Amino acid sequence: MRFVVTLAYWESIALLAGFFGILFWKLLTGDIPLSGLLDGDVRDPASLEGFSSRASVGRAQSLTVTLFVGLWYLLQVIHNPREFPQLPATIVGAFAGSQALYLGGKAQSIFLGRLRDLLK
Amino acid sequence: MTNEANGKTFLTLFLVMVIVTLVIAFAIAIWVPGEPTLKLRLAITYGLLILVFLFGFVILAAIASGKIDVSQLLEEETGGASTSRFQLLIFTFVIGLSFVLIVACNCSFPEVPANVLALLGISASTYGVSKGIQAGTKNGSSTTTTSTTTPPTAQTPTGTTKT
Repeated sequence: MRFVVTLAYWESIALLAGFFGILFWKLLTGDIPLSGLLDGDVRDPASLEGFSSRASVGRAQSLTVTLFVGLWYLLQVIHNPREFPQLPATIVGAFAGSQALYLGGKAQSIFLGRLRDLLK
Repeated sequence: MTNEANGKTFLTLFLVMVIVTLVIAFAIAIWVPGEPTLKLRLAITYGLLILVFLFGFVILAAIASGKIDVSQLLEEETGGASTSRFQLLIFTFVIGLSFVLIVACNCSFPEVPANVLALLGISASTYGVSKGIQAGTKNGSSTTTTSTTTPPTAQTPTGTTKT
């Protein structure tokens, strides 16, 4: 029965690593395009479509915080692969705040337009 | 290759995989020494393991060769990549890899702490709310278009904002 456990272990490793590897490779080669990742739509009455696309600070900070939390978590697991690491409440709070900021900014830019136009 | 041809290929592969699994299971049940119950357990276990691996391998091969198209995995209707989809993908990767590492190290199913669930929940909620805002824009745009004098031909992309 011991061989069954070893086989199941290597099988799951091979399948998951293969899946992540293929997706990662497709992201690197551009088969899964990342263009426009940091561009957000802004309400623009002057545009024919009603919206125009601009670089978004909210998206940039959301992406930065996401990458930071993801890498931090993965490093904790690699450091101690015995159990899921406990996340400090500050990190969960920072992540939630970042996502809330992104969603708030998105809602504001889509429904109300750019902040600088609102303040004029 | 058309969808019909793809379907036939996958059906053939599926049948081959099931036959290979059954042959291996029968071979174990007949030729491996031991008690009948142990032989039955081994045959079922090896059979299922091989079947799951073959299924997974065929799907991975199809993704790698482009038969299963994942090029629009992060894409929005407008064509650009979506931040909320990307961050959900990152967290799925991170938690998935962590899970495999922990299971491999302990050889047992780990307890999932509440804050990990919170992290995944926040990530998935962001995607959901983002979709909600997008849907709201669609409705809002429909209302706007009836009240403005913009020609109908210029309004086709309304509601197709990025998440």
